[in-house]
Amino acid sequence: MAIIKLTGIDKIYRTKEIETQALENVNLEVEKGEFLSIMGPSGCGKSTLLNIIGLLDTPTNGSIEINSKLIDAKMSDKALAKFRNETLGFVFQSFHLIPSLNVIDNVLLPLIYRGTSHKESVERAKAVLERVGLSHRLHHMPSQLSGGQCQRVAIARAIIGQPEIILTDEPTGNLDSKMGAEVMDILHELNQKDGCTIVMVTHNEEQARQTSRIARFFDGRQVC
Amino acid sequence: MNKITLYLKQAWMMIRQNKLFSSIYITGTGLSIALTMTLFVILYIKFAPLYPEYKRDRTLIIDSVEKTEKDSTSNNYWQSTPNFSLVSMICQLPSVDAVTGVKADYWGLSRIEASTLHTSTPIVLKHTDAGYWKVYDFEFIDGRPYNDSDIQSKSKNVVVSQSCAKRLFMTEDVINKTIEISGSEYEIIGVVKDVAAVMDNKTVADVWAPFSTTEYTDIDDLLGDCEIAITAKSDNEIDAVKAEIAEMMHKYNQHDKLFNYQLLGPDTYWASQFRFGKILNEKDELLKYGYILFALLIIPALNLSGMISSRMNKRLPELGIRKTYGATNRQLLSQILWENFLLTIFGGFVGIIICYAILLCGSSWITNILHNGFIESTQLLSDNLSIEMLFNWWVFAAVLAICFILNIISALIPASISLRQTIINSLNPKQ
Ligand SMILES: Nc1ncnc2c1ncn2[C@@H]1O[C@H](COP(=O)(O)OP(=O)(O)O)[C@@H](O)[C@H]1O
Ligand SMILES: [Mg+2]
Repeated sequence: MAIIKLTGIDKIYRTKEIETQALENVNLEVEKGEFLSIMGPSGCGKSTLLNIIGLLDTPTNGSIEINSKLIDAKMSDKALAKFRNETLGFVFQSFHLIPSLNVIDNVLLPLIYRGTSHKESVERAKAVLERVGLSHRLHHMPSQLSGGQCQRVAIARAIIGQPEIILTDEPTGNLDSKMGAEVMDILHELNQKDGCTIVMVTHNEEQARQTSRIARFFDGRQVC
Repeated sequence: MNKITLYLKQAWMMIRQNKLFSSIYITGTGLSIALTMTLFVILYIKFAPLYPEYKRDRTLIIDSVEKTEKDSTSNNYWQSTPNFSLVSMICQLPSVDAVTGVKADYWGLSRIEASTLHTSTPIVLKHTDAGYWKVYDFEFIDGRPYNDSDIQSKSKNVVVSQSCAKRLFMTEDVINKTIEISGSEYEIIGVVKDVAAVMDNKTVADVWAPFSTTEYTDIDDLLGDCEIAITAKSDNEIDAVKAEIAEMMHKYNQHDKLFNYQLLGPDTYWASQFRFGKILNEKDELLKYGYILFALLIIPALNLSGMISSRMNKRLPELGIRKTYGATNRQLLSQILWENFLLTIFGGFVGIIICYAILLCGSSWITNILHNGFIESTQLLSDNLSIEMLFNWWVFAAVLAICFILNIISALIPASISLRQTIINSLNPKQ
């Protein structure tokens, strides 16, 4: 059964001077438990697609179903927030940690908006940080961490709420190959052990080949 | 509660990490709160029920009478303070609780010397009738006020203030002791708690004496040299008192063959503060205070709002991240408002301290403002602002309300503009 179903997605960016068609009639299904790689040249619309799946941006046309639930413009801010909070986890290329919060506070962020007690949140944050191998950096600030460590904090934050779907946009793009491999190991483990569905944008053919399926894009269209 | 603690914790972190922004913001807030609060304390002193003028809300004032000839060809016209016979007429009216005439002090609180065998000190002397002690709630530490029979017998009995007693005798135990004022001997029959110099002209004094012991000139039937304060039985009866006085004056004018008398007043206590001769524009005057308050608040609020806007832009990615992980717009808005509220509260503390510094260093300056400049150096009067003037719930509630308004104006608009961005635009703001 498809956990993500995109039908006829268009995305047009309009600025004063130009119109950019970033996505054109994209139809894509992702099965539960799948690890899908999205590939394609720079500017072909990969990030746009991932952001639309993650409800961070809205398509110009087309419909999105996640977990058989149709996401439409009528959904309230509150309902969308709940969806992002409970079902989706994000890992971005540039980490997007909150610089003013320490590691543990960054990681437990999703639980704040779920109303989990502070004590339980801290326990769970410690557990996920242990899992990504960062138990010794709980009270560091993001600025005191290496890129690989930041990305592992970001992964810990993405998985603390045990979402069914993890969306990740070039997670190893800013990392050297050794740190990149570590991050990939964690993602594979999440996919295999925890049964997370993962959609990953990547430029790396070798990383893509290790995943269950590759979707290739060119100029806003899926080519295979 | 948990959430608020968390917001406050985050806010505290934010303040510590942005020391420059925070200190500028807190100082800016503090200064505007200090100015507003100073104005508020001055207004409070001017209008609130304070020792010994606890009945200000049901007090009426008559400071002037106008007299014209009935003969319409004449342009003769007199204006003066009223006299003590008007006081005794008003005394008869049914809705009047008490009435007093205080001998007018045309030159402000002028000083004369009081002396004992050993020492002498400048004092402010007030001549009043016996009703004075009913209109005003003086606290007698010792002895008694002078009464109607003291007035009639012109007995030279005086009431002195605590600090005056100490200046003259080094003790408060001064009943039956005599002092000499302007060549006459007076006997002290009562000692009252000091009146702060910022209070009304009618109550600020060191020594009080029966008006009958002085030469008083009742120039005419109603014109003389006293000022009148009346208390109604309750604040509901103020209009009744006004109506009775109007009725009384109407009858009086009918009986008088030659002249018409018109009172400038009676004004309620707060309106009397805005009277300039015949002109009484309490609404305009009040509006003036409103504009000042508005300016004191809106200008800093706009500045602070600008500061917050630019900070909001810097924090846009953080808002995006929070939304990505499940924050609703409402949650973020309340987070921002709480953060800002904490900053404003710190500003409020700074403001209160600055305000007290202004008030304590400038208390004689404020006394001058409140007496329209008609006062000499107040060093000898007890010019300290009292605790009840400075530390009272009204002032604190006002500061809190001001903090709240400042906070809303300065943070709400920039915050809601920032929150309207899509998540992806917040995460990757365009440079
Ligand atoms: N906010 C935006 N405004 C205008 N054009 C945009 C915006 N974001 C992306 N684009 C354009 O949309 C196209 C797809 O961008 P993107 O999804 O970021 O590509 P990719 O991630 O595959 O490199 C590009 O041509 C890009 O210039
Ligand atoms: Mg991209």
